[in-house]
Amino acid sequence: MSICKRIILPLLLLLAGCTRYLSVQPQGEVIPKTDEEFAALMHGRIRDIEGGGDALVLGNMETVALFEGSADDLDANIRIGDGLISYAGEAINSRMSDYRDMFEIIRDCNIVIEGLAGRTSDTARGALGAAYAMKGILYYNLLREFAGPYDPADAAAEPGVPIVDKVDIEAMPSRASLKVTAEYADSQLAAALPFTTDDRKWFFTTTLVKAYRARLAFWCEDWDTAAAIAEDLIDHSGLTLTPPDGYKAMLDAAAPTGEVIAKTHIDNSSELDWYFSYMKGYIASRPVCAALARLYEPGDIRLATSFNAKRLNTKAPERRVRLSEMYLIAAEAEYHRGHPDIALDYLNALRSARIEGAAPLTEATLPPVREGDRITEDAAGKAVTPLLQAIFDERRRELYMEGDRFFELKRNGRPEWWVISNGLKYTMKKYLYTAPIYKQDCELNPDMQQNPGYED
Amino acid sequence: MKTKLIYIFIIFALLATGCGYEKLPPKTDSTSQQYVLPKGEIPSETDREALAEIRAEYENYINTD
Repeated sequence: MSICKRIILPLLLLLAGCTRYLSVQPQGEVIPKTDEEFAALMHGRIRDIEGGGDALVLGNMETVALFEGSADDLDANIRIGDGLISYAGEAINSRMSDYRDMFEIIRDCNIVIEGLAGRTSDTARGALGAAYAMKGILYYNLLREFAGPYDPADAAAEPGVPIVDKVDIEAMPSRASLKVTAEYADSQLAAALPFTTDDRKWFFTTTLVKAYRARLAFWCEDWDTAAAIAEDLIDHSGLTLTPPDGYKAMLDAAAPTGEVIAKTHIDNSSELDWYFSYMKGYIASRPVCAALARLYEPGDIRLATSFNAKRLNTKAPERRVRLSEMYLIAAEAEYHRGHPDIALDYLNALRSARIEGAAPLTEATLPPVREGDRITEDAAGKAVTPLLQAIFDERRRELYMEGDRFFELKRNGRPEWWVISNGLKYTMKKYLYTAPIYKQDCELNPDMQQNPGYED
Repeated sequence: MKTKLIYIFIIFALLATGCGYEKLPPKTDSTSQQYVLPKGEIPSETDREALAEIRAEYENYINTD
């Protein structure tokens, strides 16, 4: 009996309590309660953007290398180069990780939005603005990267990405439609505006949020909205196009200057600077393609700042949001709205800020459509016209090495081309313009539809 | 006999009150979390000629400009 008392009873007590070992206890982490604690979640993310570590919200040099390595401004058939993928097919697995990581940032935004709802301190309002803006931008990125090209005619039937609007670790939402995803992204950007200002303390300024709304409307071929927002920014943001003599300094400056609405890697004494010096070398190891090199006109300031005599990159490879992009959005949106004169006005305004002595283009002086160009149809599936070609050319020169060209190809017909690497030919097929949804999500949720082309 | 009974009782107690486990999500460890990358093909003669043309254009460009 004494054995029973001494051994069995204590043993039973120990065993009866042992299921609690699975209970999650705070391990040095703080469950946010105060405004400052919620704001700290946003400050951490903003610090990543400003230090250049963020590859997912605004994107960094790594993002530029990914998308320029996947597109055709640099020609992998001349030389693959170092540290760059030869084409998008090489990156499908790393891009699935980006999908997962984007939703981790969305989770943080949802924690802040839920926790600070209704609070009115400056800190709470600033953090709320940043959370809504960041979530809206991430949904815009998810839409472009993990869903097919946007066609308004079938956007209600095509899959977008899952909408995660609240913190619920057990929820397994399936994909919303393209249309619903786009509307949700815009609703988050719109929700940010009452909280944002043009103070850069919270990074996501009112002008930046509006610029992303213009980008989103442009991607979704909502030409009226895209034109209205872009033109509002051109007229009322207080920014002007940087003239040719300030162009290079504007691109090289660490902090946003001139026409730059926002840029990453503002903190140029970031702990990642050693890494970015390697990245610059990698990007400059693959020459610019002949088709792009031929596009520059004499007197174009971008020719001297984009690449050297060996056609190797010399432009600072950063992700930026600039006023010049708003001119390009306005020009293309006005073209689709049937206003070629207004489109030409915006195009000529941008050209005069980039090309010394540029003669204004008119419909009569526009060069004819070239044979053999990679883009042969526009976003609506119609043949490229001389005016649209001029807008495309300007965009390609202007946004070179800012990670835009890949999406320009995706938006306009997803042309196929090939690259020869290590003696084998790899074709950039249409499906590769859209990255796969995170594979584990598809396995856990049978209703989660994977993108075409990524069969098990 | 008494000792045997105690051992039986201990084993029974262990089995009856032993640590429970949480239900886990469906097991996926046996499947790959990565996709097989698209395979390359042997380039045709036309492809090789096009590649040579691209490289010749580049050599010409850097040697003349």
